Amino acid sequence: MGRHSDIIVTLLIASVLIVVLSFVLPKNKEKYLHDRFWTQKTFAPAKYQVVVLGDSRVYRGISPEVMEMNLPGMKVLNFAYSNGGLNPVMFKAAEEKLSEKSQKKIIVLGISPNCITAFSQKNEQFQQERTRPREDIFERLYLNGILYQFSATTPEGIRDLLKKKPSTSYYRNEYYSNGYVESEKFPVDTMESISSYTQDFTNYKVKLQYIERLAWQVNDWSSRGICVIGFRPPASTPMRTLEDSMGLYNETIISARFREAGGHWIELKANRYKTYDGSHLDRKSAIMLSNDLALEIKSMLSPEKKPVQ
Amino acid sequence: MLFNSLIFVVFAVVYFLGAKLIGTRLKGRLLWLTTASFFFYGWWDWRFLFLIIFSGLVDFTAALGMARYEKHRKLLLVLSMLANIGSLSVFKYSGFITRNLDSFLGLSGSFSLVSHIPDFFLVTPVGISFYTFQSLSYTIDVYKKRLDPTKSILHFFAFLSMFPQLVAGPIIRARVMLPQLLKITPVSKEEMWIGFRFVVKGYFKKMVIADNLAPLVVSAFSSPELNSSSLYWWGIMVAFAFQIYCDFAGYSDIARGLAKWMGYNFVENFNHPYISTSLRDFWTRWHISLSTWFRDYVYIPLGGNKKGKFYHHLNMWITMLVSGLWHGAAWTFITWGAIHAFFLSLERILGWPEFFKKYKLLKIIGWFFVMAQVLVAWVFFRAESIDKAWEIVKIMLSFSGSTHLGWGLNGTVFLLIMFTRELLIATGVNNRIDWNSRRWMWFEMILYAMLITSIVYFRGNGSEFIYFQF
Repeated sequence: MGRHSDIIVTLLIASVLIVVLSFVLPKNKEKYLHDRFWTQKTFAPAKYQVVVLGDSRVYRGISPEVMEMNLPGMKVLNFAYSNGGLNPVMFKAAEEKLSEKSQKKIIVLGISPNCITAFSQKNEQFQQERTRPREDIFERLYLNGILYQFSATTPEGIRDLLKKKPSTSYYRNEYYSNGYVESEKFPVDTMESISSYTQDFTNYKVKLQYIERLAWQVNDWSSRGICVIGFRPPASTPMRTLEDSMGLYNETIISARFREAGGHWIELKANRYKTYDGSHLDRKSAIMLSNDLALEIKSMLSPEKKPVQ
Repeated sequence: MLFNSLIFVVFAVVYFLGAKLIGTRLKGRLLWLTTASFFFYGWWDWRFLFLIIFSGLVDFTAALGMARYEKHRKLLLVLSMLANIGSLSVFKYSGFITRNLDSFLGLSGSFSLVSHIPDFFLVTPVGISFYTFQSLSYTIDVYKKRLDPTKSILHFFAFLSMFPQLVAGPIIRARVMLPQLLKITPVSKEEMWIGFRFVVKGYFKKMVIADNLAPLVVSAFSSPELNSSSLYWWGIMVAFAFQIYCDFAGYSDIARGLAKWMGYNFVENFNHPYISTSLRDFWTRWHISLSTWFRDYVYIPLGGNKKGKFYHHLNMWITMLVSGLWHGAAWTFITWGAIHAFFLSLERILGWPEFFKKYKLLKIIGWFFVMAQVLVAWVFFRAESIDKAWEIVKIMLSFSGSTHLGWGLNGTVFLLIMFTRELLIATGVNNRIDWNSRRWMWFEMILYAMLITSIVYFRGNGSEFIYFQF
């Protein structure tokens, strides 16, 4: 056997091994769906009539599909990011997602306390996605399906597979191309997020300057015919208390300033919705919230009809 | 463009197909190589292509001038060095120099010198230290009359920008590479296989070993509170030692393999440094192309060991400090160089490696001793600040705390692979095998097939090569 044929034989043996192992080794579906989801959200060229902005409470809490059912003829995008700050970077990006040709343009802002603290102003996740190298974007958008078949694993992953350890808990995420992440967690622990938020609010508080900047933007959009809707994303009662006391979130002041600037503030009944960790809504509540918001928007667009709750 | 990216695979396929089509036409080959190399580099940031072109033009012209104007040879060499070291200083060291001056002069805010440096100059172009040294070696060799300057600009740029080694070495000398570029020899089947082995080994080292060890090291160094166990930090430093080795040697292997497929030979850059039994031995095995560059263009011109013991040590210290600075514009890298210089001096004064070599058991003790020195020095190389490095070294030398190594199952498996490999080399088992026998040929093929499979399934989270930043 010549040395040159060694390469071909080696590659053939490797191919057989790779194919066989693709049926045996564990696959990390979550990673691939997650990666494609965020790249699609950031770079998809489609335009929408309604763009929803905010943080993880928004992307886990608002389903554009449900909203669209109540807003016929309107396309909705959930454009929220983890620790998404409400600032000019996001305002500009959201505006670019609005359809220029559309008569009705709506921006919905989920104003959680986190969105208007210094911590979220860096918009780390959004920036990370936006500055991703070209080849990464290509890979995530077009090759993820193939790469998923050859998911990377680790010795620890194989050990777990061999042990076949039954899982007593799960955190399920379903990624939708409209920007929504349907989330469910078991066991539910509504106090889970309290400690991390306590830590966050020790260092960062809601700041007036961010509220003022937001109000300026609402005013600017309103003056240009863009309908701006704001609401406080629901959370558990202890979480809201923590946000109000430690985070210095004053919904009355914020909503008043929002309305003053020309926006429409939607008051939500917080106890209507259930969270799985104190901060994020479960699937049923997310559908309920999306429904409620859509009906409110519908009533705003055609004031003669009252929303049904 | 990273070797461990899909775009590079596409690029390499296009390059080799193009080279095949061009065949033996020399000008066409050089033009294709230069164009591909510029594209490879420009993919990262096309603006910095002008820097390579500028550096190359200066050196190409200076070398031609040296051959033509005998009287002005020195002046032309100085100009070439000024241009090269100048661009290196601006792009790599301006931030470091001004920050230190600011701190020394007590300047801050808008009065600080660093605030006046344009942002563009604070970005270190990928591989600037590598191609600058490569270009410098050309003019110095022409000046010393060790090399005739090339009259073809295409020939020169094909050498300077050659993509397999452009951004992270090995640093190839002009007098080694320029003649090779003019020879068109068909690549034999044997060389194709050797190249293939290099490429597979390189990707395995980088994507499986280095990328899987990286998370252990990152989590240890980024933790706000340092782990107080001595054994934990020795374990982490072993992991880092293999991470950086596999990262850099992996790149060198891929570069050597690609060069083989192109019909060229690159020098060996790593020769199992972690089996060294003295620090001097270590430096003949680690980043060989750089160590020999410093030896030939810094240490020997300073006088080497020919001016007595004191100057011997002094020249070695200067060389090691410059080597530290070459790696990065930070005091941590300079300290890393200084620690190596200190241990090298001590080794020369005490001559302990000679004593340890006498008995097998002592040789093992000697090896432990060398590794301990190397690991302590790596702390300074990896830490973000000298203070943090000192803290870690103090913990390492306290020999206290828990007996937990911090490798986990993942780290243990990947480190065991490397330990086994190095042990086979150190004990000479590798050399006793007749790789050309039919049985071992099959073993080798199955082994490489398994390495490829591991690259697919055990690839770590892709990251840049560490040495890109240098």
